[in-house]
Amino acid sequence: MKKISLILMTLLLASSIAVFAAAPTKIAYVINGSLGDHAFYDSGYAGLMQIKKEFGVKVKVLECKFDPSLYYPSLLTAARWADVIFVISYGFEKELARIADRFPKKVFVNVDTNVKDPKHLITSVVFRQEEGAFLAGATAAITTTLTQLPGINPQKIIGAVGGDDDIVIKAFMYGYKKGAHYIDPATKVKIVYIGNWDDPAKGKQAALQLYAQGADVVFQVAALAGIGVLKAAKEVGKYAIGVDSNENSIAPGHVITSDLKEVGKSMYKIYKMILDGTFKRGHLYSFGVKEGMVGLAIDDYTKKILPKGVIDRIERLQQSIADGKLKIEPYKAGEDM
Amino acid sequence: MSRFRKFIVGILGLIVGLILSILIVKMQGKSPLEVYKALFGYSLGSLLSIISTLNAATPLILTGLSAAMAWDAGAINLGQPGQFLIGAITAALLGIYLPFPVWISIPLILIGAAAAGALWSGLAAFFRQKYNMDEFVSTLMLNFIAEYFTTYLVTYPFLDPKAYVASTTAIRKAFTLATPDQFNKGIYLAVLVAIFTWWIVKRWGIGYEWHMIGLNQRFAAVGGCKTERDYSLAMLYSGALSGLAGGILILGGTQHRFMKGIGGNFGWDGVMLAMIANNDVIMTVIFAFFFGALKAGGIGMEFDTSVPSEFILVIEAIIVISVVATRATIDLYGGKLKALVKTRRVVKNS
Repeated sequence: MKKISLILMTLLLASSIAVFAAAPTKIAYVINGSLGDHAFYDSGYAGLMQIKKEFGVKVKVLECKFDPSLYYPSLLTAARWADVIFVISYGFEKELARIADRFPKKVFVNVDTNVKDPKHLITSVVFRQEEGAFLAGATAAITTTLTQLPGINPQKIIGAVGGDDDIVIKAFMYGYKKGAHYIDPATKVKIVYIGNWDDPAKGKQAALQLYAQGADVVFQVAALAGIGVLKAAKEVGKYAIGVDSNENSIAPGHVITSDLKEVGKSMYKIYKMILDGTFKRGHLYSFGVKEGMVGLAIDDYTKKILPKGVIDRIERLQQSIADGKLKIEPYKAGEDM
Repeated sequence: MSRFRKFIVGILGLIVGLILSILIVKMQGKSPLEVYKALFGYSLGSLLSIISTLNAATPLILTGLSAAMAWDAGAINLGQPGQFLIGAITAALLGIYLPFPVWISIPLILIGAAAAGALWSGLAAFFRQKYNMDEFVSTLMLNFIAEYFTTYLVTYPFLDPKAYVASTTAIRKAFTLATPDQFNKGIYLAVLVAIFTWWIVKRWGIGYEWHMIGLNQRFAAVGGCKTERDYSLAMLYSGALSGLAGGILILGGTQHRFMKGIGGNFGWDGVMLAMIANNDVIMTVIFAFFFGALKAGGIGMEFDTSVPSEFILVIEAIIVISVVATRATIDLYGGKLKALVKTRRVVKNS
């Protein structure tokens, strides 16, 4: 009898715990820009769709389309509905802290930047983009010397197109330069900031300028606007490197590789951590090559462009970053490049 | 046109616009009922929603009046977006650097923002007076200059090095006009300014002269209006209103700092408001609240029904067209009807 009551008690206790630790069923994804960039925001969306498929949760996306007047109300709307809110909070970090303070029971996961609030309610996920950009820079610096490839001139010039002149993009450029100079210190790196994230025409214009100045490879870090860079590469018969998602197939034969930043994968990982209880609120998660969240997308498209020896060299470089043998200093804000 | 008739025309146009929107939603295969439910719920359904609506309406009242006042005086000021940005950046910089106590700083910031907006429209007025440049073109072009100039300012000289986007640092906390619920107290000022504007139009000589010039400049000049002076004043006042809208957004909005893209669509929405309201002060304010509700509700509509919030722009545009068309139709047929009735009476009496 005692045994039965004990079992009953345990069952009761277990069920009550289960109620409290009920898996979050509503997930919102609030982004400062718009979906459809084939890169950054879409990567997060793909991760979200995977979570939805696997765990049957409800998912909603709020796009702010770079309109600051939508940031606060969108976030508020999401916070009122969802259990877990993934946020890409460029431009509304302070509003995020304020809203997290209002809804302390909700889980806020800020992706790609580090947002701190006094009560440590917000969890941040940052990427060591310097590592991926380093590899992109190394690839570009090697490619610009491969004069046997069509379209490559003898000058050692490579380029990059950035969306905005902001900290995260500067970190990309910093890593890109480091990587290029690691291969050959004589490589010239030309950088253009277009001040835009969603106008491919502007990206294309900037890339055409860089190609005209002798660059053979242009690295795009400009979300949807950067798609124009890939199109420009195809138009003039030169090369480009994609960003965030695998963009190798957008201009086959001209996009050498893509510097992946696995926004979606990181969101999936965080969600799994929430489910199995290892998630730490207020923690700063830093993901890089080692965790498989940053790195180059080397696939058949790459193999059609680059010789095998070069690919092996790049993969060895990536491996030594993953193993920690090659350390890339993180970019510090304000540091001159 | 009498106020009552104006009101009726506005409402009729609104109804036509909403019916057309229902058809469009239906064509998209979505339920119009749900769309309107979400629109209503997220704009007026709860306290937080109402705050969202009022916050969205605050800058619109002023940019709408800005367009209405200029056009009423026959000055085609389409520079609201630029004047708004110049006012906003002025407010943000004053808010960061002004060392004075709060009671003097806040008025100074707002006056500064208005003055900056007036300066921007004043440029266009100056070009017109001095070089006979059409303000229709110059105000439009000044928008681009304002946009890129302010973007430059926040990307380089006044960049907050810790920010992840191009923006200034936040203004001093004491200067903010927002409650903890993010309610923008600047709306009181916006309504006061609207009342003041109404008073100018109705009771002051200058308001009357503006209206007369707007109706027929040459006739007004013959009648003794100082058209050149009045034109410049109308442009300056219009610019000041847009600049003030920018200032209030900085002090009372959710950002408290100037960032790239902060102007959003406030300037152009103001232009649309003046169009719908036919440059009438009270109608502009009423429609500003309505547009604010649409803007606030749009986010919720997208969230609940996955109808994209751009659809709000479609609704706005349809409403503009239907209100203007309704007005023209009523004017035309109403006028004909009136003429008919009068002719009948004359014929009967003779």
